[in-house]
Amino acid sequence: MTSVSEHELHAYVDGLLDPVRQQQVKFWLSEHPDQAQKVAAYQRLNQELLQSYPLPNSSFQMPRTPHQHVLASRSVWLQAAAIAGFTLFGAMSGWFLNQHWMSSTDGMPHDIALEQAMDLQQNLVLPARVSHRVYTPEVLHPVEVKQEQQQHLLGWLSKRLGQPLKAPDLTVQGFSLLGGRLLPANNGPAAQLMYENAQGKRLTLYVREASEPQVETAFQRFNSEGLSSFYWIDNGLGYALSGDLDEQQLMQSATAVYHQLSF
Amino acid sequence: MPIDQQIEPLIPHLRRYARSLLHNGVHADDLVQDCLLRALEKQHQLQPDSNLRAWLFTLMHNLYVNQIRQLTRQPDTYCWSDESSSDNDPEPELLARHQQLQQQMSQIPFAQREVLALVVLEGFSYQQVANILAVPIGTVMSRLNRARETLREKLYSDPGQPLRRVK
Repeated sequence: MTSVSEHELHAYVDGLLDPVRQQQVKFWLSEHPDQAQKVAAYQRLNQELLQSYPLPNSSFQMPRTPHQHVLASRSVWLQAAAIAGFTLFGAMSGWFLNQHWMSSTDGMPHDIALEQAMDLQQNLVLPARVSHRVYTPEVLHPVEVKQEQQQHLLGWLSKRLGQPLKAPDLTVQGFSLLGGRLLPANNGPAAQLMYENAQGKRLTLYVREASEPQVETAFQRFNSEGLSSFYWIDNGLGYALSGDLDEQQLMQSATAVYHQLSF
Repeated sequence: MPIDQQIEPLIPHLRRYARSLLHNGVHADDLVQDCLLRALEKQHQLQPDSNLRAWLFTLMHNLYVNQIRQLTRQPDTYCWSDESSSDNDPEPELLARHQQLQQQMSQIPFAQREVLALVVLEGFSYQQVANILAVPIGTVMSRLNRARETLREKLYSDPGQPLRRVK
């Protein structure tokens, strides 16, 4: 008889083998006590999992139509997600949220400010923060194009963003430009510029196109788990500055960036 | 049969799956609500011969992965047995054992937890699980193996016997 694969052992446990093969494996197990012990443990695990996760039969209101959906702000898990700081490479196309979140309830008007806030979170702040966390720990190649080729870097990024991009000067705040890279946002390119101070703390400036060029937002902030971010939209571009600094320190740099880049 | 009537009997299954992922009853039910809304909006995408159950689980997986995966970094309270879900409450020792299982489940990586829940709790075949999670079947098997080995070590290893690792 051919030997039994790991796949087949699992299938035996889950009752997915055909009857003939099942008998063969059963016989094989009788001759391999270690494997038989493992299989017995898996079977017991199956049983205990089923007992530990009973089918809930408490009351549950099934939604009837999409229009009964409450606004996202009341959905606990979505709020938690917004706070969690994880990126969305999801189905969101364009800058504004899709119809799913725009339905109102009980005839209440759309809360445009709320929707815009959620949109900024998902399409600007979260990707900026993830990109910060991904690239700032890099020692050998934190950036793709170094600041020695600054002109080339900015020319390249400006071209891809479709708007001229300047690299803000943060030497007064103690930060020097390391360089930058091009990143994919969920529906187009984004730019990341990285700065570093003498203590090795790093800031990243994340820039992407706003699909509604007339929109301008106030300066806003977000922080969680030691990472602070300031963000805004200005002149058709969304900006997010992030750093592992306390908010006050980061604010100085963020204000400088804002003033230098606003027209 | 209208789709909401077809979906209704599957709701407890979706709720259970959400609980096994999130270990928080409120969050889990919210996730299921959003999943069902998506299902209602997207029902035109469902083919007549599609497996509705697999389709719903795929929707929920995608919703979970795309929007709240970060939550799994900090396992929340894993107990919802304060909810009166059955007439006969289990005895205290049994309840403690269930909570132990839930706790261990909440600590394995979510990708492994998903596979184990879909196979053991829902009885999907390995190929169906691969389709729902959009991964190759080999990935399903390796996650299943790691999940089972981890839980076997945590829950069933005999302290009197040296642990033999089987590769």
